[in-house]
Amino acid sequence: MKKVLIVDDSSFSRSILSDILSENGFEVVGEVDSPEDLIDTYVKLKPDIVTMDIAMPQKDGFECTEMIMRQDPNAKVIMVSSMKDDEVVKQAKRIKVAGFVQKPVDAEELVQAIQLILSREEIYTELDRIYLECFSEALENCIVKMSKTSADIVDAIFQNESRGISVISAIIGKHSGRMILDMDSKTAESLARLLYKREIDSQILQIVAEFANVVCGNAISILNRKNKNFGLRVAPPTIFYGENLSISTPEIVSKTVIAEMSFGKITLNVGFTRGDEEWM
Amino acid sequence: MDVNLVNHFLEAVMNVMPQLGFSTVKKGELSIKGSDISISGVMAVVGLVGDIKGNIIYSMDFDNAKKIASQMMMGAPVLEFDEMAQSAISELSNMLTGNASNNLYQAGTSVDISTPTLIYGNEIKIKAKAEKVLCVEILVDLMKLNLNIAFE
Repeated sequence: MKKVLIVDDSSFSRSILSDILSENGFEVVGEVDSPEDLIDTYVKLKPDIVTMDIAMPQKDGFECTEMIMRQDPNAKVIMVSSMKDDEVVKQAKRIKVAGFVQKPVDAEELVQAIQLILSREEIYTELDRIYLECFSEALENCIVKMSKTSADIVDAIFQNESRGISVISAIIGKHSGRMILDMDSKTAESLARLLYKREIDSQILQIVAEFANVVCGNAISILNRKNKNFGLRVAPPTIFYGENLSISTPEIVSKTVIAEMSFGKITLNVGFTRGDEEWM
Repeated sequence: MDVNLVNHFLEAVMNVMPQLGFSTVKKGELSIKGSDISISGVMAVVGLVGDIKGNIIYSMDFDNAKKIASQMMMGAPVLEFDEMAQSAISELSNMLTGNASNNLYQAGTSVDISTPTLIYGNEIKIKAKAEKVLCVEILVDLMKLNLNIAFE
């Protein structure tokens, strides 16, 4: 049973929420009416979901949510308030609340909001577990099939400094993300020659971009077949190149592998956001 | 690529920048470049997929990136383009693109957007997968923010 912590200064509201939650298969592990014990209680009880009232005397629901998020950036807080106007909703989105339900609380609406959050979390957990192996598989297959050379795929740590050429393939889906292929120009040229038997002239970058597109497309197809809830699709690739190029993805956790071939190395870095953008 | 696309992104900048505390937003030059562009500074690329497919690349020089990040962080000084500043610019590109996708939706075009990827450096060349890239220069409190719109 999933655990819920109720935060509200009104004992009446707390008991209504507690009844709704218990009747719908959730375990109410605790109730908090003031900010003092909030963090200790959260840490001790480790709830899956926190319901948070907004209007409270000492600190309001936004401040309390921020306190919890500082403690646990992945905390799932659902705001439960009599006010649900644009300003309030904007503020809630800014602090990355996971859901928002208006009082008087409709049981079905609250339960659905919670289930949406939990299923998103399940989807993310599965995606996180399997995406690297799918991208590694796609990368290796594409190198072998398209260039007829072998590749060793090894785990690696991402370097922010590019080797010279970086192809970014933006990914949309239930959880959005991106794939980056990074290589030096010598490797790009060798790869292009192996992929495209004719004169490559000035087309090296186009060929490399198309290669990235195929790798990413293959990888997300594998993922979508494993779980149709991922809903992944890729945007056209963009190439960045230069001697002094750095890549940063502050808001995302990503994983890296390097494909080692006789003619060079290609770094593949891929990651997806956990973000809860969909509740509004 | 429909040139009107630009308007949805412009509208996004007009909507979002004042919310972040910037007072003036002025549209500057609009130009059409081939698919090759060269930039020194910070670039945030966001992919869009749906009724239309492509990428938007927001670009600005380092000084402006730091100033914009500082403004977004309530005036906190930003001396280097560090992780906090990178996070701010990433968030900005996310907000702008999110707003633009809403505008597109209101106009009957449905798209999903990706998470941003931040690139920075000197004399970085970009090759977008589009015949032409629409470049709009926008002055936000006299700081140049460029929108490079690359759609199929």
